[in-house]
Amino acid sequence: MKYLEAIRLALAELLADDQRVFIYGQDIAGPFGGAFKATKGLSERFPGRVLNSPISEDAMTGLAIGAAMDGMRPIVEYQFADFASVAFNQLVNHAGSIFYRTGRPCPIVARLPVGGTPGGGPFHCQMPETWLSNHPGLVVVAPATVADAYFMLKDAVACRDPVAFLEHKYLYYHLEAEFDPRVAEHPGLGRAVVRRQGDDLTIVAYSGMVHHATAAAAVLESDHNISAEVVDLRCVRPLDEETILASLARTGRIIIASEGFPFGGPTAEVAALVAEKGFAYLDAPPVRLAARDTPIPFHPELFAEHHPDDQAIVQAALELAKY
Amino acid sequence: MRVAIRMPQLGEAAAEATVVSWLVQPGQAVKAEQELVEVQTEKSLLTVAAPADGVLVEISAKPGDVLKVGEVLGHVGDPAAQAAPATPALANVHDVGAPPKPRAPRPNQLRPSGRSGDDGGRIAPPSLMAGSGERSFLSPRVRAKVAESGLKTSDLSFITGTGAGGRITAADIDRYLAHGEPMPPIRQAVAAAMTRSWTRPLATVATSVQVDSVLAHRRTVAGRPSLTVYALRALALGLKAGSPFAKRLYGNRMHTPGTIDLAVAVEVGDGVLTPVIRKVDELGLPELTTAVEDVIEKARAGKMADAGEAVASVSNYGVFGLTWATPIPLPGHSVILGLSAPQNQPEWNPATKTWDRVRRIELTLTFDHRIADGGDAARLINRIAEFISKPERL
Amino acid sequence: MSDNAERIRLFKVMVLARTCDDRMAKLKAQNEVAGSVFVGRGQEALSGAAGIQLRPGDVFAPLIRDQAGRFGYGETPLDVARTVLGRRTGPMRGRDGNVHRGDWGAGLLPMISHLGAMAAPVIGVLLSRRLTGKQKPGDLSVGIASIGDGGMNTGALHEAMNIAAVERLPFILLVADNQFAYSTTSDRTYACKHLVDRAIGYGVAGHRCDGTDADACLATVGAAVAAARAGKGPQLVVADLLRLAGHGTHDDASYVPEDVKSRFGDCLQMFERSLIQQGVLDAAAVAAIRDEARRQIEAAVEQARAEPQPEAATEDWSARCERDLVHVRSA
Repeated sequence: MKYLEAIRLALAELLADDQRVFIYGQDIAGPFGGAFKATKGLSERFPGRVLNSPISEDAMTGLAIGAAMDGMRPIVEYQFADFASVAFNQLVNHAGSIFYRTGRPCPIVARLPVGGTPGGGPFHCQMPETWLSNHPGLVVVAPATVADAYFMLKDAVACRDPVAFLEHKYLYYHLEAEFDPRVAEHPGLGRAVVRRQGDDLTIVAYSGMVHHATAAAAVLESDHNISAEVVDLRCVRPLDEETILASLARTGRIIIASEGFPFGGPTAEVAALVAEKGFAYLDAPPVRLAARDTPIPFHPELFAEHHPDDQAIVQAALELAKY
Repeated sequence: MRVAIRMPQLGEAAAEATVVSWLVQPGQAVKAEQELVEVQTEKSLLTVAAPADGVLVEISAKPGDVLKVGEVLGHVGDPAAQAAPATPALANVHDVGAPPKPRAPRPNQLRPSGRSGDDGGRIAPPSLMAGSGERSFLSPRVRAKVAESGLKTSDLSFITGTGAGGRITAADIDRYLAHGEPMPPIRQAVAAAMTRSWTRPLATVATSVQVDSVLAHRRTVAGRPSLTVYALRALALGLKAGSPFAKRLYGNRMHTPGTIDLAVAVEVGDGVLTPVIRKVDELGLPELTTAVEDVIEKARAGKMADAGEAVASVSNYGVFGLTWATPIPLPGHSVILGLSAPQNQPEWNPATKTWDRVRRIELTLTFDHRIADGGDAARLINRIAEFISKPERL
Repeated sequence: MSDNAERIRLFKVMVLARTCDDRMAKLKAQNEVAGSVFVGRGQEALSGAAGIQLRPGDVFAPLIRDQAGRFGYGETPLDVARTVLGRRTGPMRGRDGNVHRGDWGAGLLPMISHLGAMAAPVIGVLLSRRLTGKQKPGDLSVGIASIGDGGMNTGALHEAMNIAAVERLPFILLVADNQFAYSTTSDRTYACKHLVDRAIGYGVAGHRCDGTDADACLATVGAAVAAARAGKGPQLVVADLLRLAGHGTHDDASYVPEDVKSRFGDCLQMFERSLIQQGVLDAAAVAAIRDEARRQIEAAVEQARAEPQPEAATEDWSARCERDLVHVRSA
């Protein structure tokens, strides 16, 4: 099953199992079925519950908030996460503030296609987790596997807080795995997991970067005799501090890699966490790898050099191992 | 010349597409950008165009085949030309599926710089590499490990460092500590206490005293007090009589406790417990006997009646038959009084002009030299000896 | 003309709102209030006319000059006093203040400060009602969102109005064109001839009335609400009036020119005169309504004053309802 198919399956099951669920977004109804086809066939199976919206990210989100407060479990599909910046106000100031201000939960799910693809350019490749996670009240999750795409979407709908659900566009069709939702186990929504065990250093990643991290760990093992542990954050807000610190306690060295921009964000938060709460586990300073501090370039050659990849992680790991 | 017709990038996310039909047959002439073949992605039906002028010389993907982005659908070329080895086509800038080209190493360049838009002139971070002469560097983790494992800085010189530049790693400490078994908790507590106490300047004075009168006297007292009880009482009275060793030291400050509280060393299993008896100067010999027996009994049962602070203690090392020892005062105590085993000794009796047998013990007094000096220690031990030799005054 | 019972009801709501606003402004002057106090002086007729049209099951997203509408829909003076004084017992528990109060469960939405942002949530509630089959054809629950001439120009408002039209929801946008967006005059905030003209662009019904005339407000808002209930889709109601106060108590509105002031009367005074002239109320009845309003507001203030403030030490500092995300899982 592909990552995108797992999302579609989860959406279909959510619509089938829970009458409160509806999906709202641009171009999601049939026969088109969404820019990435995540909702292909769903409007036909669930008439009136997979609704095309105007190009109005702010009002789409405001509408979802109202419906959620009236008892629904709306799922909003933003065509690209980049455009959720138009909905910033409703997401952070409204959805994020409702529970604290009023004591009533606001269970909306914002599905955000994130991440870079060559040729996507500055406005179709961005990662929104840094600006979303800074605000209190929002949950931000970033599944990296087929099973997580399926389970975390269902968990996001079960969660009573507003959830930003980051779906990596490159993984949609490129990630495929054996997956049977009837037998697969899954941890809770906020739990980070160790994707690969290791002794010498920890690589923390999320979303598409998890695959670069595991590929780098394989190279480190085979070519350099370095045993790297890969921690997939899964949920970047709130952070599963326990799992991160437990891994660091085993390895003493940590690299935090992300496709996002370098200033602030989950990589900085994890680095601050290990400095504050994991100082006594450190054998070396924490290392952050992030995208360059420019808008994301269009040209594939520039794009490839804009964000860290397997090779960058391997290089950082080799240097870190010498400390 | 042959140019490969490759499956193009098909949108932001599609990784593959299915060949639907060829619009041109092999052998037909084609122009660059002419539509050649229809392919279907999950999202839409698209056409792939000719990469160059020429003839469609080969179709390698037939309808129904699923090709990944970048894979070859067929070739355009000059049919008359010799079939030359296929040169890799310039990657279509939209390809996502093609393997990345090898790139030159990029040291550090993707580490966040904290300075926007500037990758060139950043402030260089301290090298991650261990430099020479850095063997003494201990990472936070190693420091924590040292503290947790009870190692002393001096112990580290016995550990071989296997890290960069000979640095000691956490694993090195683990290996070092893998020897033997862990000390029992009480042993660890004693070790810690003795180590702390040993950081002070300690000195010892000694004298001997005859104990015949004590040994006779104890038969007349309820409970038959032991030598330890007499020593405790003598020590208490000696301290109370204005000895500076009745004081406790707190950094550079001296404090005189309101009562004379003394500890008794009791050997138990793996270590020594030191229960405290309060206001020893106010207890008569019978009461003190009861009190001492009580704390000893409790300590041997593993219970501490009172583990609080005291100013001094008594160690009756004589029970082991020893004739001399210098016990270490407990942390915070100013002195420890040691008692040896009684020994028969001849003593010239000028009255009868005979050598009489007397029993004597050695008294040793180890003291914290910061609190007072040898003269004060001598006055205290002499007073104690005086009390022991004249037990009726106790 | 509406029946006299409804007119008296509106008058009472307007008097109660004016009394309440004046009392809150006085509390601010007495330094008992943190932050700002905003009053709806001059807008009571329009706001109140909307509030009293609503019934349980409807939705109302008031803005900062809607005390009359809030009272008309059922907000109590005690909730106002508790929120303005920041009491722990109020609906916002000291976590939000002044006009940012409401109760999602009662259909009275607590506004956020961003103008235009509350329209889409009202529409979301109405869509939810439709999706769950709770709407009774021909007698729909409706939603009203308030906005002013300033907020009419936000992207959020346009987006929401367009969605309401696309979905043909029973939504009424209540626009008080009070001549000033804070201090900025209308000629610097919009260029169309009249804001009601925008109804054509949105594809919704448009209504215009004199916002200083309470009877006109009752008739116009009443017609708009009735049309929405009947399933005729969104309604845009634009009332012309003047804010008879500053933006907040901190603003003396000295920038309002005399000629503008002279063009607009006080809706409350005019409504009172009209009710007395028409013999609907006599002077004694009006005095009794005022006394009752003062009594209610004073009682609410006294009670709220005696109630506890929030305490930082016992505050539950959690912005999430799911405190432990590690254990959140679908069934």
